[in-house]
Amino acid sequence: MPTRRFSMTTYLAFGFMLLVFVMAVIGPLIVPESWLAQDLRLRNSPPSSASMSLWLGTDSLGRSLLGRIIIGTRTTMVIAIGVLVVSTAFGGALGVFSGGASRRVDDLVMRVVDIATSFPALLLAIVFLYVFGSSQYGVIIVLALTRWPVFARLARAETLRVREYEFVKAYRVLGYSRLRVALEGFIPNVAQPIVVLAILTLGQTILAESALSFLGIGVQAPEVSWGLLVAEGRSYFRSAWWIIVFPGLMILATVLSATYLSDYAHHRAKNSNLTPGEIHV
Amino acid sequence: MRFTLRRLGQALVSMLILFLLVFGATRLAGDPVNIYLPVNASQEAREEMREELGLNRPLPVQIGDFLADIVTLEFGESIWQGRPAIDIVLERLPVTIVLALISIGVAALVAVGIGVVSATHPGSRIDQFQRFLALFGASVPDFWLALMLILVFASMLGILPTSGFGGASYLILPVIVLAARPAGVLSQVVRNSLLTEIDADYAVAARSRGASSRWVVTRHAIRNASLPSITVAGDQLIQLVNGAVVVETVFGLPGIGSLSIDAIQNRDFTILFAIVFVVAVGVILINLTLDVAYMVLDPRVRY
Repeated sequence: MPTRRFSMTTYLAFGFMLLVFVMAVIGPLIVPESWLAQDLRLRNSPPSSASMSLWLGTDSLGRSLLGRIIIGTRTTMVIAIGVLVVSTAFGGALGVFSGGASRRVDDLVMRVVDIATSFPALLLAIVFLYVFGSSQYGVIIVLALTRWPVFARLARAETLRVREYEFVKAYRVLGYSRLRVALEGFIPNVAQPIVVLAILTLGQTILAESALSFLGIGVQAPEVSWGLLVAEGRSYFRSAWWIIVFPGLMILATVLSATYLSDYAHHRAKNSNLTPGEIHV
Repeated sequence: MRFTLRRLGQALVSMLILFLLVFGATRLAGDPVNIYLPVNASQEAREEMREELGLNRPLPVQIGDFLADIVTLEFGESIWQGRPAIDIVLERLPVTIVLALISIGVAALVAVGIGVVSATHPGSRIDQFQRFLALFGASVPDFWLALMLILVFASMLGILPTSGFGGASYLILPVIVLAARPAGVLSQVVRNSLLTEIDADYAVAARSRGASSRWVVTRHAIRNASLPSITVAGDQLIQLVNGAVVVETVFGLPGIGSLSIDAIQNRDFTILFAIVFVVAVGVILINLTLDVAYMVLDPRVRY
C-alpha cells in the first residue's frame, strides 16, 4: 500500500478540528448577546448575506443559527472530551492492570469487557440514562460506561505484547516494583495505539451524544448542542431546511475530521493491535 | 459440540453479569420505586410497588427473585399499557428483525462487491470510492442522514413515502440509512483481508505455478478472507440495534428501537428491561451462528 503523506486532506481535517476546539473555548465569549435573543419577526428566516448573524438563517424563535451552532460547540466538545478522559484513564488503567495481573483476574475483567463491547452501546446508554436521569454530566458518565471497555481491551492486548520485550523482563530481573514496571515499561509503549483510538472515539462520542440529544434523552434545553439543534428544527424542516442542514453538516465535518485523522495516525503507527473491527464504537 | 456448549455457558454467564449490572443500577440510583412508577404515583401505588419489588427483604433474596422472574419471562406488567411487557416487546420484534436482516444483507452485498474490486484494483476509482464509503459510513450522524433523505426523496422529489409502515417502498430509506455504516466498515475489512491473502505465500506459489490471478482470488483468497469479514459482519449486525433506535423513531416504524424511546417517555422500565433481555438473547444467537459459520468455512476449525 502506498504510504500516506501529510496531504492537503490531512491539513484540512487538522485545521477543522483546531477550529472546533477554538470555537469551544472562546465561542460563548464572541457571540453577541443580540444574536441569541428571541425575535419573532425574524423567525425561520432563510440564510442571507444581509448581516453576519443571518449567514446560516435563524431558528423558529428568530435566533441566529450561526450563533447557536458556535455556542453548542462547547457543550458538544465538553461532553466528548469528558467521555474521552474518563474512558481512556479508566479503561487504559484497567487494561494495563488486567494484562499484568493473574490469569483469573484477567479473565474476569475481559468477560465484563466482552459484555460491554458485544451489547449494542446506544441501548445500554438508554437504559443507564433512564435510571440515572439525563443531564450533561449524566451523558458523560453514561457514554464513558459504554466506551471504556474498548480502551481496556486495546491496552491489555498492547500490554501483553510489550510484556514479552527484553527490557521489560530486565526491569523485573532488576527487582523493579510492579507499579514501576507498569509506569515505565508498559504505559509509554501502549500510548500510541491508545491515542489513535482516542481520536476515533472523540468523533464517535460526538455522534453518540448528538443522537441521544436528538432523541430527546441527552442534553436538554436551554443547553445547546448540535444534536439538539437538529431535533429542534425537525418540525419545520420541510419549510426551513437550514435549521437541520447546518448543525448536521457541523457534526458530519467534525466526526469526518476525527475519523480521518485517526485513520491517518493509525497508518503511521507501527505494531498496533488496533483492527478495523474496532471501528464500530 | 463440547466447545459450542462451553461458549453457550460463557454466554449465559455474560448475560447474568449484564442483568446484575442493570439490577445494581436500579438499586443504586435513589429509590427504585421512582424508576418503576411515574412521578405522580399515589402513596398506595408506591407501597404496593415496594411490596412487589420486595425492597424490605434482604438483598440476596431480592436478587434471587429478580433472576427467577427473568428465567420465567415474568418482566411484570407494563404500567403504561396495562399488559405484560414481554408481550409488547415480542409484538414489535419482527419489524426490527426484518429491518436489520435486510440492511445487513444489502450492506454485505455492497461491501463484498466494492471490497473485492478495490483489493484486486488498488488505486482505482472503485478503491477511492471504498475509502470514501468507509469514512462517510463511520462519520455520518444517522438521524441526520435519515432527515436529509426524507427531505430529498420524499419532500422534494416526492417519490418515496416520508414515514410509516405499509410496504416495501417504506423500507427503502430506512435500509439505506442503516446499511451505510456496516457497508463502509465491511468493505474496508473485505478489502484489507483480501489484500493480505493475495500477498500470502500460498497465493504467490499458486500464481507461480501458472494459476491465473482470478483463479487464486475466487478459489482460495476469498474463502480465507471471509473469516474476518464474517466476524465483523456479526458485530455490525448486533450494533445495528443502535441505528434501529434512531431510524425507527425518525421513520415511524413500529419496532423495538422506537419502543425503547416510547418506554423512556412513558417512564416504563419493565418494557425497557424486556427489550434488554430480548436483545441479549439475540446477541447470543448471533454469536452461536457465527461459531457454526466458522466451522463450515474453515476446515481447520473443529470444535
